[in-house]
Amino acid sequence: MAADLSLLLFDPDDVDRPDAYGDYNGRIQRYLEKINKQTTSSFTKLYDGQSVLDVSFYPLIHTHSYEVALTSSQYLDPTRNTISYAYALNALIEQANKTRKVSDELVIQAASFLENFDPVQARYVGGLWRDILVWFAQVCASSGTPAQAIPAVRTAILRMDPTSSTFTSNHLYFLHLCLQAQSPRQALPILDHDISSLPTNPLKNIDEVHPSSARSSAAYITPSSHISAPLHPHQIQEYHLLGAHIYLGLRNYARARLFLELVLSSPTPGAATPLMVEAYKRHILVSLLANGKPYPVPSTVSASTLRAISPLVRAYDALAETFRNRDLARFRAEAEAGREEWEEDGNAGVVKQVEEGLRRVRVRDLQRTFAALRVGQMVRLLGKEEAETVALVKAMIEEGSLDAVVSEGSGGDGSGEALNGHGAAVVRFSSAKPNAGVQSGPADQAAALEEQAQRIQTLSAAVREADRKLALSREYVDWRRRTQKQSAGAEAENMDTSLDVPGAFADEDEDMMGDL
Amino acid sequence: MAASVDQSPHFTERRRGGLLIVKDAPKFDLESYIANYEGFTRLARLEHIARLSPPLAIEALHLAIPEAKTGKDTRAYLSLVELLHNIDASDSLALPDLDWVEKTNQLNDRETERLEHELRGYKNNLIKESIRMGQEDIASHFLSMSALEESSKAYQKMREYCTTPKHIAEMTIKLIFVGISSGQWLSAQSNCHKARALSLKPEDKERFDPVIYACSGLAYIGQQDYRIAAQAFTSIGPSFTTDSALAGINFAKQVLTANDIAVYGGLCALASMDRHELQTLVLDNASFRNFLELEPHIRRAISFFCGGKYSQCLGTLEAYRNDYLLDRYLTAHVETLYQLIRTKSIVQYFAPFSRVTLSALAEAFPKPGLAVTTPEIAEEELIMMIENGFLDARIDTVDQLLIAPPKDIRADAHSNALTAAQEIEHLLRLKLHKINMTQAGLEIQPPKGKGQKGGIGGSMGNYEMAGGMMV
Repeated sequence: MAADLSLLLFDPDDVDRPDAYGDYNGRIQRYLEKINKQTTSSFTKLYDGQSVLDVSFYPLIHTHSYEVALTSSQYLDPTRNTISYAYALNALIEQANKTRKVSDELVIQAASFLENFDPVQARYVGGLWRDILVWFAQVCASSGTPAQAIPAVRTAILRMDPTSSTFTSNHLYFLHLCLQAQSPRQALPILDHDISSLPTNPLKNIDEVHPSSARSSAAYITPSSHISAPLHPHQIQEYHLLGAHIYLGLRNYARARLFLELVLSSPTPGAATPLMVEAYKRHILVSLLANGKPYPVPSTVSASTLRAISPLVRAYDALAETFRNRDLARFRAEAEAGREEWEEDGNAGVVKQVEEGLRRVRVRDLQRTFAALRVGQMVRLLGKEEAETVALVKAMIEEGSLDAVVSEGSGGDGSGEALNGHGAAVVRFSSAKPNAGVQSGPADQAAALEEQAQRIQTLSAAVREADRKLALSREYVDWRRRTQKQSAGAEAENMDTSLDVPGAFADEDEDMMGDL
Repeated sequence: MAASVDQSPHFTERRRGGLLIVKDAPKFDLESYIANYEGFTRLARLEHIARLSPPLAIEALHLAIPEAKTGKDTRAYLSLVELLHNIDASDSLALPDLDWVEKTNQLNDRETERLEHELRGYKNNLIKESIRMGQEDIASHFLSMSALEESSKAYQKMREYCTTPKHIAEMTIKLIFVGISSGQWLSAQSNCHKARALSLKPEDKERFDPVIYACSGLAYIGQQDYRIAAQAFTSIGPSFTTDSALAGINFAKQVLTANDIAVYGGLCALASMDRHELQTLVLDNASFRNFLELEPHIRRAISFFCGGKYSQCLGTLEAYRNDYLLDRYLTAHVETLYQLIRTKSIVQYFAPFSRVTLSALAEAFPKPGLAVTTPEIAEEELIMMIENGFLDARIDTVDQLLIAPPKDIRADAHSNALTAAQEIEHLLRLKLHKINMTQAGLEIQPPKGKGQKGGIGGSMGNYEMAGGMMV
């Protein structure tokens, strides 16, 4: 019995040679050749009436020249024997799909695999790994409980790529799962990781490394690894758009803005996709919420894209204009007039939020002018009901968006007003800078700066790396040759010189920190 | 007498329309004031004073109407008589001399015809210089009738017959004059530019430059560009007053006098320059000092401002408010200029303090025209200033304080650096993403067979947003 199974087994630790690690890749490749020759039936048939995943067997030890079966028995373990486990599980799943009988046991085994697989071995069986992931999520979803799949899928993605910095189809899949389960917050552990690369095939003879010795996820998550399904540009846009929507709901406007601008920055030949139009609309709303006025469109968005978009977003621009003028009445009118459009775009809720935001911004504007004022005066300036104003100010203080103190009736001379409730209550603003929140100490700031500089350095390294890759690509070399022929002297003119900046910038940055 | 003028139909009408009336008499003496001016400006200034000032209206009109009768401008004469009629119908000059009007009109028409006939003759002879002079005669004739538009057109026609730079310069100067007389500031402005760009002989340039600077200063005031106006006025050379007529026009008498230059330049400088600039560019400016000496109170006001005595500065200017309101060119700008100077004074006054009580501010800067300036009035003004971004401070309306923002340069530098760094990170991310997508071959492709125009509608089918959102 054990002999049958030994073939199925790959155990990374069964070699005691000191240089074993170096040949890890070679052994896995040899093993993969062997296991690929196995028929499915060797995985699906029962051993002593038990499934292959439940039976214990005697693994073989591989040494220099001979193989010996160990005397102690063991079970197939998803962590130690990830490759074998993936093959077995996949065969069982295929069988289950054919017979349309899914046992609870199989689902539990799949979950256990997803949570415990060995990340290095799994790089070699990316396709199987993804099939298991998708199958597991589908089973959960079809039984009406997509939420159950979330933890396992999330762990699997983060186990495969702890930095989650290479975008895969699984990212989008996971996002859909969270939204289906109506728990967008669950998506944050993945969303909060920044994407810094996309699966690309390594350049021949330059960047090729064995999956087992790859250091960054970009090196082993490639189209040929099948860890990700083939990608389309709109999937990446969709991921960022949905992510932005989630951040918007959680009021994390900075991230929402970044995600929307990522959508807008997609390279296009001049046109804009509907998703980009969508992103642009939401971008306006987000900037109003976060900034009080539209953010400038980033330089990465091409002018022709903007031209294609701008006639489609007139209503949003008009809304932004009234917001900028702090004109609540006209904003309401615009919001009312465009109601159908907002609803059609699924932005009605956000527009409502923006209206609420306008009220808050008007209160925050007051602290630019006033250090303290009576509520009565505030009511006059904002043109609202007194109780409503007080409630709004208190709510803003509680959520930390306003650094102020409300004290009841401490006005002194306003004894007459004190009788009618809040008239004499005093609002005292502590900070002159809106959005500043509670002032942080210099030490905090220095630390934050340090951290920020660190982040930028990492990022600029990534940009440099990407730029290098781009410069090595065939298209770029062709383009270079062409332009050099055209004009020997001024060939650099059309080049996006801003890409050269990161290197120089990193140095500058270091100097800056050195001075501090 | 004064009371009846004040109650006359003209002033009642103005009062009802909410228009400006300068109730109190100015400091100047009308006769000696107007003696400085000649020609068109003299009439226009008199009329302006008559319209605005009840105490001086009758006197001004008594000077203006006989003056108008010596000229060719019948429309101006009729309007002056009508004005007098509306102020005091019983006055001996309040009835128009219709015979004179008719006779003058006929003479004017005949003169126009004659000049046009002559011009046609010149044109047949094809002698450029004669044609130019013929055009000039017609233009001057129109100008003397106050037909400014026709005059401007006629002057412009001179251009192609001008043979020397000096001719062009003279023509441009005349166009400037017409522009200023008719209040076409933009055209006066552009002609000033043209005039300055001409390449003249050095000795000519010396004569032209002061006039051009004066006129462009005036034009900039008309466009409310006080800073550039101040720069233009302070660049006027001292030869402005001593030179006789230029291109047949004596600007120092027919447009603005040296005293006017001092006033206009001084006020604009006060409104637009900081203390350092006022000291170096105005008070220490040798050529402009000649002008300032003619109007010592303007000089005093500027010195007060530079010395930090803002209340005295404002007080000095306030005493001359009526004079400036009765100035034809200044009247529309007095309020703005004064407000600007006041705002600047308050900002400067507050600069060394970290907090000031509103009552102290109200005391230091009494609002003109009010008996008592309460802290509430000061507060209102301060709110306006803060909201317009002139003043960097906050008001504590409960304790009646104006509070300067706390300055922590280190923290500011840190937070600025942090914001900048965040923006850079943000942009780097976007760039990286764009490079990545390009490198992975994931550029958005235009939909097949439709060309780029269909970029949006055409690809709609390919993209479907998944999942309803709930936030």
